[in-house]
Amino acid sequence: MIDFLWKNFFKTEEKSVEMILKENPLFEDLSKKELRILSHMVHRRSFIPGEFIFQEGKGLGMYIIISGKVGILHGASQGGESTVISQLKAGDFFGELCLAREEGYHHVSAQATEESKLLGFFRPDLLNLIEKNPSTGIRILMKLTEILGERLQKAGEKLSQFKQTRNH
Amino acid sequence: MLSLTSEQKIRLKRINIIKLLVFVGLLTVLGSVLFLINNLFISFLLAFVISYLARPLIAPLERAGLSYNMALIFIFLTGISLIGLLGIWTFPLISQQVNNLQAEWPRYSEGLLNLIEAAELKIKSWLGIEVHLQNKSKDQILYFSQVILKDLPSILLQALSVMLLAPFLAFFMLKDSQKISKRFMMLVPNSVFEMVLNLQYQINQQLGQFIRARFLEAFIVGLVTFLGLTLISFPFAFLLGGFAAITNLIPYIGPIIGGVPAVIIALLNGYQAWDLSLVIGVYLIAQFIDAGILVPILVARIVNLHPVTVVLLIILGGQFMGILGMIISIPVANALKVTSLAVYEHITQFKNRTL
Repeated sequence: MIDFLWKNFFKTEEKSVEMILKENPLFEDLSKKELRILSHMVHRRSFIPGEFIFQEGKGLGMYIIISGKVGILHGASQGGESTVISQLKAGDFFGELCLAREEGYHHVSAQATEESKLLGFFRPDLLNLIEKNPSTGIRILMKLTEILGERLQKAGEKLSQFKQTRNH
Repeated sequence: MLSLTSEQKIRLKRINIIKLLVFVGLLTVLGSVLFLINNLFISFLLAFVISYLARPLIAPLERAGLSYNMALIFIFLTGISLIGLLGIWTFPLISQQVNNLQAEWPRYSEGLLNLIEAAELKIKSWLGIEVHLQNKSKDQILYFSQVILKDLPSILLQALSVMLLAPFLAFFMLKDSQKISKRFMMLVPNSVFEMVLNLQYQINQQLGQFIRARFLEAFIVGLVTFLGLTLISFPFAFLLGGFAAITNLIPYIGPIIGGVPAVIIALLNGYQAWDLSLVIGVYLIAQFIDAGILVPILVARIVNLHPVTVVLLIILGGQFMGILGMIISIPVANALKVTSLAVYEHITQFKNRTL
């Protein structure tokens, strides 16, 4: 009986992990089988309100919010006043920049503002995936470059706008 | 910014303490099982080594379309049949050489005593000091005689049981490694989670590289020694080659230990200067190949410890666990070095944390 419950508990949980991954832009191109492999790799973490998910400094990867709310803060590690840059909710993700870099670095801090459940996907997981399953790894990397490229373009546009307004 | 209330701080602390207790408890149970059951520790170590040697073979098979478990089964079946074939081929050779060794041992032990007696006389005539090496060494030689004449078959049998258990353990280590490591990671507190994950990955990588490189190196050195000794038709070539391979796992000191039995056998068989230098030449060539070709290609990329540290570690390992300790002291020290560097970096980087 207990065994039965246990199995079913995990079955439903696993399924939801795959669904959460599927909804993320980084993994939307993956097949069912690839999502299942990935779901065995990601880490489920729970945070209590006020607990830091990470602080400014060395970082290893990204988090996807399953439930709860997360505040992204600037200047939290200096010990002084910190400003909230944005509030993230279920389905949002953050920290993906660290996946792309050997010496990943978080320029902001992330703090749970409610009881939160998160999925973590980190550079070692990505490297393991690339080694085992290169085509899946490459598809994730392509999506990552797309997201980063988009962001770079937006930053470039903002910079030229800023320059124009200054020149006027 | 939200700061933790004292109630939340207590809750966080309690969660982390429970995690720590479960972690330490699991480690204690695992450790005591390993050390209490006879020979299990050696099987476990060997399984660990096998799992690291087999791991790089899985990914190519997976890429070829096999599932992880199928790839694993394929590797183990192939490996077991290859080793089985090798066993069938080498068993007559080994048993013949063991029998020869047992038959000739009385002559060897007598010869060894004579050598020691001659050495005593020489020391007396050169330095004028009376030394009594014979009495002390006689007990040792008698002890070894007993080991070789009586216990060698049972030692080999014991080794066989260790070797049969190890692949079995290795199979499940590889099959469930992801699950096991994920369960362990669940016990790591949030505040150090990323550091521990990174650490686990790095230690895994470096240990894997280290073990694969050292074993390939030892295998080639053993093979060269075996071929060389066979070429000059020296007795016990297979046993001596195997011994040289195992001792080659110990840096600096190992190769010397590996060569000693061959030199003793040569001396006892009354080898003259030319023949003796041939035997030593075989070992030297093996070491030249090791130092000149294998080490630069295979071992040089691995985390380096200072030579003095290496020698001290070998002595320390030898004192605690004999030859096994000498072999495992270096990889263990490497793992500790990576860990302490990462922990140091973590502490210095995060010392101005608010939490």
